[in-house]
Amino acid sequence: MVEKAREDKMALADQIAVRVREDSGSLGKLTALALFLDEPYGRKEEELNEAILSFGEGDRRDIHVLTDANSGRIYLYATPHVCAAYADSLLLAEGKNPPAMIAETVRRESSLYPRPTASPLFLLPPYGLGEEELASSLEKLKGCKDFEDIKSFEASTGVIYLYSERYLTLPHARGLAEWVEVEQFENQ
Amino acid sequence: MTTYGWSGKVLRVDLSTGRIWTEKTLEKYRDYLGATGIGYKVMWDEVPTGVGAFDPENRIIFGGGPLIGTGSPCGGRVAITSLLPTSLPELVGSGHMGGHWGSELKFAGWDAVIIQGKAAKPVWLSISDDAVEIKDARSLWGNGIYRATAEICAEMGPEAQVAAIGQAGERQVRMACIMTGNSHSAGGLGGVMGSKNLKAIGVRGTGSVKIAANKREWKRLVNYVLSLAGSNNQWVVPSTPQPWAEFHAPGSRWTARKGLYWGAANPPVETGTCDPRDLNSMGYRCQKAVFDLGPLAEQFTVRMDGCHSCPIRCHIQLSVPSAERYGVSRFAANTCIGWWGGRAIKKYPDGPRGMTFIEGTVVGKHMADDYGVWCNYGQINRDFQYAYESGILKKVLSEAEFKSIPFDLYEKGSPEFIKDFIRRIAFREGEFGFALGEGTARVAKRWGFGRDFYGFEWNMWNEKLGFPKHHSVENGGQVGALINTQYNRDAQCHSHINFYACGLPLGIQKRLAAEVFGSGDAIDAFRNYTPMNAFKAKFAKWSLLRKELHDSLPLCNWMFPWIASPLKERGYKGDTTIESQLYSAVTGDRKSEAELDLIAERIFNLHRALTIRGMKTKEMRKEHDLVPDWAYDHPRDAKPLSPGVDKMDREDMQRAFDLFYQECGWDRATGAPTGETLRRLGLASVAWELEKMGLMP
Repeated sequence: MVEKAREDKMALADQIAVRVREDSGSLGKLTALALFLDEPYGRKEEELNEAILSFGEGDRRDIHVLTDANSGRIYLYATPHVCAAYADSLLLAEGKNPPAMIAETVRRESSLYPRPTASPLFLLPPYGLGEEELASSLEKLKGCKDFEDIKSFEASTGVIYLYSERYLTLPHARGLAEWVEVEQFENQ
Repeated sequence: MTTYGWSGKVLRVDLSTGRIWTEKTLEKYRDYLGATGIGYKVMWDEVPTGVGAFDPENRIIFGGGPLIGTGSPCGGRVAITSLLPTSLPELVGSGHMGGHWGSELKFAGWDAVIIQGKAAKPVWLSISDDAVEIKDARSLWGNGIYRATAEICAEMGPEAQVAAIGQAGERQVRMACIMTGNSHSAGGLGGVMGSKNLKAIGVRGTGSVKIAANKREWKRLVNYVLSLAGSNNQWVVPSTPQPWAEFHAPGSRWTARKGLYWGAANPPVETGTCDPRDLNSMGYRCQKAVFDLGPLAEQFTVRMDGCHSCPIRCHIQLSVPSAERYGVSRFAANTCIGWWGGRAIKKYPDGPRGMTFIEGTVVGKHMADDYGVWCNYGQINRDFQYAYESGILKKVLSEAEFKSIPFDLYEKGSPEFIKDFIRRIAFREGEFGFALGEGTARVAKRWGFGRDFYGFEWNMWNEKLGFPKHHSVENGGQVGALINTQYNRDAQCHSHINFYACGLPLGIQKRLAAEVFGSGDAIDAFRNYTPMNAFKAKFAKWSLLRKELHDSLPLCNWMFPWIASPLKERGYKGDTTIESQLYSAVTGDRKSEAELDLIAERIFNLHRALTIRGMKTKEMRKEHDLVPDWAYDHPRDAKPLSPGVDKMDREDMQRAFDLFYQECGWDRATGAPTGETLRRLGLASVAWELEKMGLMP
């Protein structure tokens, strides 16, 4: 009985891993663990929670688990098809809080590279906002205390850029944006 | 005995006498590798001071090096060395072209071709393996490059590769280029061919290049090299977020993504996500049409193209049907500044990257590449625009000539203007065509350009020699500035930019820089420069040496060297020993990275010595290595070395020269190589000759 239960658990873990690899490899997206509660899988929550314990190791070391701190929802992805940084961005997008997603992304880019972020970035995968949603999110950012370090300016091409003043100054951000928008094409 | 890498023979042709003979490559040029190395050596030994670019005594040297034709990735480029007609005075320099000509020359059994003299009538040179013949070109003379290429291929066979000049080169327009493969041009030297009455060199080779390494070793090495390749200019991250990519950078030339196509292919080809571990998708990474010409160009992209044995494919093949209304073919190929003709017009009616700009680009490409007009890295457009906008043109042209130029079309942003503009230059029509074809240094003097021409807006770097900036302070602060001071034309050096703008976060770049230069302080955040230090001097020198190494091996300096790679599992580390690994495997002559860098240093110093001899002064620091005022003064309201600007500090830049000269083993006061340095590099005879001329520090 114990052996059969173990085999069943392993079979479920493999089943989940196959689906995660498919989603990551061909679609570049996260797989919600809750998906396996529904048909055709129809698994119980406890079974799923147990199955994911084997991820990140052995034959399933490519499968990684992410938890959305706000909703508590669990997501899975497979490397190298989806890398950790992209998975984090996908998770931000799953959070359905575009201003927070934008602010988090802008802070990361301002501190890491460092560079300002062109707002049209959020129209692309993995963010996938619509034009109107982006515009309204940029408006919401302006009035919110949580995002008061996020500043914006317009490049000479009219593109709206964002940066976090924790990591970048306006002159530096402007200079970098002008390079990307205009000058790089004149300096090939 | 089998020779590996090199074919072992250099072809020599004297067009004055018709004599054709052979030299042994390794006997005479082994210490100089190939291409620019051979070129500078020949120029030093055979072209004394006082010879002009268009004199029969001048030489023009075409060549690749041991790697060309071997299948080494990005190893298809050719350097052409001679006296530059555009520099004032006419000093040594090289033009570079890709395509397949250099590989074909190697297949024909030749490492280089050295031309001297002047034919009594127009000729072209036919090289078909060992059969070399000077042929009558009177029926080709007067034709453009497209026709000349087609005619020669009709005679030699469709596999032949042709390097030719157009009407501009025939007329010894200083701003003339040499073209091969209809889209690969070598700047500035078309007039030298024209002065020798040499229309073209056609090459057909049926041989092969022998590689010392066994097949398995060679395949393993090539796959290793490919595994570290990024996209054009060694961008190692994509321009948009991709599932596999930890990082992205909006300026990256790795533009591939789902939903981005070669839109004019039938059926359209999606570039896709291009995971770097999938080497078979490497050729899709660089959808360069959308980078060079804007998003509209996606729909006109047939495919990407490139040089022999290059997996990167940075040349764009376009089909723009609406360009036909201007009387040119819809089909056009080129890349980067090769599209310069379209920018002859400053403002297009539908914006800087609209449809009219794309049409203008196609028109400009055909005019420039068929007539064979060079752009001096885009400066010819700015020379014209400055003269027009400042009112100078109205003063220097006769009323009749001024009225004959369709400025109304320029103002409207019509591509028709470009046809008129480039034709006048190619055919030296009137004062307008003649003067603009003389190149920036001469037209600025002739027409009395004001000091404002040497401000930031007009891009000029060295006003004496007449060339613009090329990855200067805007790409690496002091490092880019130093690099831009070293040549007699725009600096064709990309070693620094291939790392500086690879797209990785600054922290990773600093870690990688520390491994190569001893400290992360060799590199600054983009547009946030720190004061000069010794590690930046090392970076600048290393960049220049690698440029010479790449031109002489050859490897494409628009890709190499690779301090960085796209591979996270390597910590994004590239491999700066690739050059020595490829060289050793191909030739069987095992040389370390340091040993090859020493050869590169020899070549670089020989170029310096040629410049000193040509300028008849050792005062390089004062007379040659110039930094324009705008690099210190623009923008007016910003402090030097402050965030967001490329503004240098005068005192700091002097320190940069001190450190750089020290790193090079050059005299600090003059910037000339010391005798000790020249002897260390095996250039004792060069030191002796300079000493004799009073040109040693």
